[in-house]
Parts: sequence; structure tokens; C-alpha cells
Amino acid sequence: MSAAKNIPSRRAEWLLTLPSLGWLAVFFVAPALIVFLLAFKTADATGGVSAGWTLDNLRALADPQYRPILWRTFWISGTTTLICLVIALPVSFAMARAAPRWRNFLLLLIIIPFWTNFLIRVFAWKTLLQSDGLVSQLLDATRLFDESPTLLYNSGAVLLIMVYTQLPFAILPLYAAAERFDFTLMDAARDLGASGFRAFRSVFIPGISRGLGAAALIVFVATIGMYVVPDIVGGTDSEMIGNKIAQRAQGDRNLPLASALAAALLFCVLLLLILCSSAFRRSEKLDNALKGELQA
Amino acid sequence: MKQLLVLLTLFTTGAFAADTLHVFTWADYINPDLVKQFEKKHQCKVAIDTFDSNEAMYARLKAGASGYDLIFPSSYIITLMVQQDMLQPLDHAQLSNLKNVEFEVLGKLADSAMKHSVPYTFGYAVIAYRKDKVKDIEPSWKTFARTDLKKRVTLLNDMRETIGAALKSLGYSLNTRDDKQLAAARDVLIAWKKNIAKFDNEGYKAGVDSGEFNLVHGYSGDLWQVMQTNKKVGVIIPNEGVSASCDEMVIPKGAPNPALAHQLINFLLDGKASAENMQNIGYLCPNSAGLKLVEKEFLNNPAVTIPADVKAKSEVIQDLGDDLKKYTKVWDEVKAG
Amino acid sequence: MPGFLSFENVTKSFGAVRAVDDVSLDIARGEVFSLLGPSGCGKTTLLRLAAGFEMPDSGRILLDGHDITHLPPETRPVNTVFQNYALFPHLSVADNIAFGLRVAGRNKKDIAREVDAMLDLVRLRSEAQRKPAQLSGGQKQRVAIARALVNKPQVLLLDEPLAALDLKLRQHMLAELRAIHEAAGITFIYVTHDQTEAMGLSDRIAVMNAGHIEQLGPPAEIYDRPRSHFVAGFIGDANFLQGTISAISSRSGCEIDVPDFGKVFSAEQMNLPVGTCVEAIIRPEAIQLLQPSPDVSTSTNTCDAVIDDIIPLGTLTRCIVRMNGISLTAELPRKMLPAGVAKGSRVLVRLDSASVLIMPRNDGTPAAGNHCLDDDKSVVIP
Repeated sequence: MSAAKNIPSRRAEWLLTLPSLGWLAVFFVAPALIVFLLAFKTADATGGVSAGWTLDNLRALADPQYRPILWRTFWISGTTTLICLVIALPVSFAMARAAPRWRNFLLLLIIIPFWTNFLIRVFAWKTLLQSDGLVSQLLDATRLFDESPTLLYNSGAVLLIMVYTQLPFAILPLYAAAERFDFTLMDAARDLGASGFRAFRSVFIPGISRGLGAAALIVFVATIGMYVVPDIVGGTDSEMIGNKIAQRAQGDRNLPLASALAAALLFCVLLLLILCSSAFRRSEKLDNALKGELQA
Repeated sequence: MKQLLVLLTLFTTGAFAADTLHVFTWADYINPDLVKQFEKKHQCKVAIDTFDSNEAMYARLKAGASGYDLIFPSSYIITLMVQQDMLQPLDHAQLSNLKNVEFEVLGKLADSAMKHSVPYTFGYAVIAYRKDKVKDIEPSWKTFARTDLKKRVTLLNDMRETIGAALKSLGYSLNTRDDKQLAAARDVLIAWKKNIAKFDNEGYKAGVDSGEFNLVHGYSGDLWQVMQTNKKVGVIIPNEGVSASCDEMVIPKGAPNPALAHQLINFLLDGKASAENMQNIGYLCPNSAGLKLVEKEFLNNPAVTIPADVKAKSEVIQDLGDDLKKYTKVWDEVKAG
Repeated sequence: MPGFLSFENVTKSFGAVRAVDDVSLDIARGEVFSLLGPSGCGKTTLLRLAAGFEMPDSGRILLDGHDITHLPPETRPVNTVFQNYALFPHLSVADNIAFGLRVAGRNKKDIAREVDAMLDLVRLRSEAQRKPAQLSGGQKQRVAIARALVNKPQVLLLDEPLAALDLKLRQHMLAELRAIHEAAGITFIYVTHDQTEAMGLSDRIAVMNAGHIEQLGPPAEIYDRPRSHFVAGFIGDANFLQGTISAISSRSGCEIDVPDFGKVFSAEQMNLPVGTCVEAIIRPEAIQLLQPSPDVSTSTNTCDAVIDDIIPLGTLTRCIVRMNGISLTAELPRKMLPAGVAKGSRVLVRLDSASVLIMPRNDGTPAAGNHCLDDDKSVVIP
């Protein structure tokens, strides 16, 4: 009887899912496939795509000129991720321990910036950091420098604003994990002689490791393809892979090469996602196995 | 707003009313009074859509956007559009004011017979600086090698313009296909790069106005506009020669209203209209009748009229076909260096 | 005996609530001391104050003569067994036990040896490499104890350690705790709301209510000589009869007049004047049920009654008997029941005068008129 009931309900489920699947297919899968296909095409001098197929674009990726850009992209994304986690860890800890009324208020504070357009927030930072901006004026007031240092147009500015834009994406999953964390474990660790910091490191961090993984993944994936931030506040030494893709597509009129770069990036991100989700599934499977064993 | 216009354009393609002329051009590039006059005279509406780079315009047309009657691209991309058979030949019989176009300018252009395109404006990539911050300035591209400007300097984020500036500083043609010359230009740029804040196409105007940047590489009309309101900003014309660019009027294949497009071209080539236009947009129109009517003060501005000896050494950027790859390679090396 | 662990006038409030209200308490070295009381009575707060998780608002806490009032938990020679064990889920049994030794920076060899010894003590050697999620409740409990004991604390604090276990396991663990205490020989402070756990394990019990200690003493004394209505009601079952002292004999006890029952004689020596409103406390097992017969005089401590209900409890049978306006709960071995009793049977109730406790009601002032009888005439707290 349950089987007879299941079939129509499963069909209904499919029908209900169809619009979103269709949306995903049209606006995500299809463009991604086009990008992958274009990567195997040849470019003509007029900015068009010629009929033939080639592996040259993929071979071009091995060109040593991409190495410093790739290295910089990974370095900036990795450092951004690390800084975001280092800040988000104590923040999420404090939020989870705060009184419920405060907790919602803090959560609101973290979400409010999303009400403002991303680009506007980046430009706001630019206004703050530019040579006659507020931060420079404050630095001038301290008289520590003969002339206030240039705060914009370097990798430091890119890093700062990347951290600023990505921090909520690190805090939210960590907070979700911290909220589920059993804080008596911290008491237990203190009771067994651990200092507050040792308890945080040896008990809290392992206890929210999945949230930590999710936060790291979200921030890293979001920053590795970043184009806008290095374009606006970056200088001559802050070019990332996203900027190179834009240059190939617009300035160089070489869509296939841009596609090859984009496809390589997409491939890296997908690989990372698959690795993480399989690690996640493995740990979940282990949990289930443990539960099963206990029941048996 | 711009995106909305693009969307509207895409969705309403083919459904344009017959008495509407669709113009695709740069922002603030026609005197709005002239547009009103034209609409009144011909009992039509002029709808203006804008692009911010030739490449973006080209890509949109390539992607199938149609319905435009009149487009204002730069000359180098027009060569490409002609090759790609994207443009209609112009009917000179409908263009009585073609006689006003300056003969001297035509000599520098690929389509000097005006078969597909008529020159609209003539501008240069030059240097603007803050008079209050930069002392003892020399009219030379080598100014970018100065290390005392504290990195408050920008170069255009455009490989042809910026490599062109380096080539000019070495006395080479900015359309060179010579590998050695390009390698030398690359080394010059890598040296300059140490002194600049960033490669920038959009922020230099506001940056030199606010004093954030002390020295910028930019387009003459834009810098003329800054100079009109800020007396601390000055312009220098590098004596090694500059890149000249000519934006021209073209009618794409499949334009719904080519007759009205011809009428607008002819209207803008009129001497009086041309003079009014120049003094509004800050770019020189190569129109001999218009230049006679325009105020002396405007013509004396260094951002509008460059010295004759520099002008003689100036060149228009040309499409290099397959050899563009050489520039891309240099540009990549500069960006990575 | 001077206290090994002493609380001196300790007070702790959470907002407007005084969780611990001016408590002074001395716990001896090596004893098993229970804090017993209903939830919210302050027993867990007192334990957390001893562990260092809370700081008192006023008062001092001394351990072996040293003031530890403001020491953080990690520096106190005291370890805790938590209510839900609080085992570290990402560590194996052995690593959980080793945690305290690792934090203390002990060398690997020592750690391995001491962890092994603990695993033997709690009989979990074969589970050493398992994660807490793979253990049963009783095993988790033993890991929690081992994890605390391995640090050789001077005092072991146990916070409702058996609350999450089922009855059988609870009894078994109680016996294990006794054995472990014997082996470790250190002071145990045991927090529970379960009187049988407290009675079965403790040398002494402090019964707590509303932030203060109601009564402190050995288990038998607390059961036999409750000093308040609360203690009598909380420890074991009790019948309460309201009455007035009608006669006092300096040698044998006193007599109270209980309306609806008659005269009740208690062997307790009470230094209270005649006419004082009092409460007589009678344990269910101190009530006899007899066949009504003209041979038995219905005098002091006896009364005619009707059986309202009979509830078999196994070895004992619980009978609810009603006489006039009051009812009593009696518990007696089945064979002590009068032959043929059933619901509605008439019986004679007799109270054992040695087991009738008397305590003053309210503020103990002599009753004016019938004011003693305003309240419920009998209260049974099962």
C-alpha cells in the first residue's frame, strides 16, 4: 500500500522539482557546458570562434606566464580564507554563548551589509582608503608618517576587502555549527586542567570541524574566482585569474582562451567540492555505522 | 539603467517604430540640444543606447543584436567590421555635408574614401597632471619613469594605448609589428609599472580631479571636461607623438531606418551643428566648416589642439589582424613582470 | 572534625534568584557526601562552585585549608563527572581518559601506563580505541569516571551521574561507584535528586531546598529523624497528620489530638507546650492494619478505617485507608495484611508510637481555637 502511494508522490516530487532543475540546467549547466566546449575551439583574429577543434588552449594553460597569477590567486584566496576563519571562530563562539536576545541582534548585524549592493560596499571601502579618505586623515592625525602611506592599489587592500566581503560567509556556517555545539564539553576540558585557549583549540574547534570545513570551502571558492575586488582596489601587483579571464575575453578578443582559463578554474572548484563532499559523506557514513553498531 | 536599456533593446528588436532612429554610441557623446533640433526637424524620435568599449559593442553585434541604425565606433574596429561585412556602404548622394570633413584627417584613416564610415570626432591619448603637486613637468612620455610621484600615477588599462605610449617614447610606431621594438617597449613598461598605482580606464578622471592621482594617462575629451571645472589640472602632450583615435559614424547591415541614419550623419556634419557639438562634448570634430565657427579659446586648449610637430608624429591605432597576438604577449609579460 | 572541603557562608544568585543562599558546610576527607534535593534547589550550583565553573557572590570555599574561592577550574585539584558525561566525541576512550594528563604535559610513557590502569579499573580495556558514540550508557559513565579519576583529584564531583541510565543499570553502577570509591579513597561529592542513590551511597547527606541546607546527617538519621516537613516528604514517603498537643509526659513522650482520628501518642520527647499546633509524621511502613474485633480496644493510636484501594508493589502491598475525613497510606508485607481484605473492607489502623514523629507546624505558636485544622487534614507525599 505504501508502495502504491509512493509512486504518485514521487512523480509529484519530480514535477515540483522540475522548474528549479530546469532553471539550473538553463542558467548554470548550459553556460558551464558552453564554456567547456569553447575551450576546445580556435579563436580567429576578429574575435570570433572558428569551426575547428583544438587542444592548444589547454596546452596554453601550461604557459609559465600563468604561474605567478595562479600562485597569487591561491595565495590571496587561501590567506583570505585563513583570516576569515581566524576572525569567524571567536566571533561564532561568542555569538553562540551570548544571550538569545543578543544573539539575534548580532546575527542581524552580520546580515545587514547584504542589504547593500556588493559593488557599492567595495566602492565605499575605496572611498575610505583613498589618499584623502577618512583612514588616511586619521593616519595623518597620528603624525606617525611623514606622508600617509598609499592604502589602495596593492594586494593588502585586495586582501582586506576580500576578508570584509567574505567574513559573513565564514561566520554564518561556523555560528550554525557552534550553536549546536555542547558547551559542557568546554567545562569538561577546563575541569581536566585545560586553559580556556587550550579548551577552545582541543575541544571547540574539533567539535565544529564540519562547520569549519563548510566555511573554508565557501570562502575559498567565492574568492578564487574574484574579479571585481582586485579590479577596483588592486594595483599592478594584484592581478588574479578572474582578471586574466576578463582580459582574454574583452581586450584580447580570445574567447576560447578565456574559456580554457575559466574551465580550468571551474574544474578546480568542482574537484574541491567533490573532495569535500566525499569527505563529508565519509564522516557521516561513519557516524551512521557507529549508530547502527550501537543498536545492534 | 544601461542594462535595462540593453534588455529592452534585445527584447524589442525588430519591433521598432518606423519613425524612431536607434543610435548606439559612447556616453555623453552628442550635444542633447542637437538631438532635439533633429527630432523636431525630421518629426522622429532618437533613441540612444551606449557602450563603454569598442570590444563590448563589437561583441554585442556579433552576438546578434540588431535594430541599430547608426553606430559610433573607433576607426580600428571599423576596419574589422568592414572585413566581417557588418556595415552598409554609405550613399554619398544623401550626404551633402561630406565636403566639410577635414581632408588632413582622412589621410590617416583606413577608409579615407568614406565608403563605410564618416569621421565624427578626433581625440588623443595624452597626460593630465596636478599642477599643485607635480613640478618641473616635461612634455614627454618619459614622465612615467619619474620615481618622485609616489605611485599616484595611472596608465590606461588598454594594451594598444599603453604599449603604444611606450613605443612612442622610444620613437617607434605604435602600430609596429617588429618583435625587437615590442620587446623594448615591454621593458620600458615594466620599469614604468613600478611607479604607477594601477592600470585604469574608469577612475582616472575622478582621481585626478580629487587629487588622488597626480599623473594620469587618458583621453583628451575626458580630460578637457575635468579641466573645465578644476583649474589645478593641466594637460601635457608628449612631444614624442601620441595615439590619435577617430570615432566614426557607420550604418550596420540590416539597419531598419538607413535613410534617417543618413539624415543624422548629414545633420551632424553641418558646420554650425558641428561647432555646437564640439563645445559640448570636448572632442575636436574634424569638420572644416565647424572649426571656422568654433570659439578660439576652445581651439587653443592643449587638450583639443595639439602642437603641429607632435601631430605630425601622431598615429591612429590600426587593426593588426593576427599580429595582435604579439601585443597580447607583451601585455601579459608587463602584467606579470 | 575540621572540614576538608568547606563552604563558608557561600551565596550565589542568578539574576533575582538566589540559587545558593548563605550555605556553610564542612565535608570530611574521604567521605561520600551527597547533595540531595529537587531540581532548582541549588545543589548543582553548589557543585559548580566547588568545581570553579561559577564564582560565589560572597563567602569562601576552602580545600584542605587553602582558599580556592576564586581559582579557575583548571587549577583546582578537583574533577567532575558530568550529568551527560560530556565525553569528547572526537576522541577515543583512551584519548578521553588521557586528556587531563596530556594537558598537564605528562610524558607519553606515564600517560600510557596510567590510562591502562584506569581502563582496568573501569573494565573498558577492550573498548579503548572506540569513540564515545560506540559505547553504551554505562560504558560512557565509566569512561567519564575514569577520565576524572586519572588526574588523581583530591575531590571527585559527581553531578547526577546515573540520571541517564535505566533502573537496573543504575543499581549496578551504584555498586561500582562504591567499589571505585573504596579503591580511590578520595572524597566524593555526589549531587542527585534520587534519594535511593543518596541513601545507598553516602556517608552523609545534605538535603537542600530553595538554596539552603534543610538537614545534614547520615542517611538513617535523615530518614528516621527528618527535621522538617520538607525533608520528611522528600526522603521516603510519609503521612502527615495535623493535630494539637493535648498532654505531655516528660518521660514517655506526648499525646496529640488529631481530629477524625483520635489520640495519637508519640514516643518523641518534644519540648513544646500543650496546645501547640503540630504535625505527626508517620512512615507508611509504621502503620499496621488489623482485623476489626471487639477484642482490640479502639484507644490511643488506633482508629477504624475503610480500605479505599489496594496496590500490590511486589514484596510490599500499598493500602490507602480512609477514616472519617482523612486518609493514610500504609505499606506492609502481603502476609501482614488481615485475611480477606479487599476494597471496601473495614480494618483497624494502628500506628507504631515509636515511629510517630512530631514537629511544630507553621511557627509553632499555640493554636487559638481550631486554626490548626484549616489546612488539609492529611497530606501524603508518595
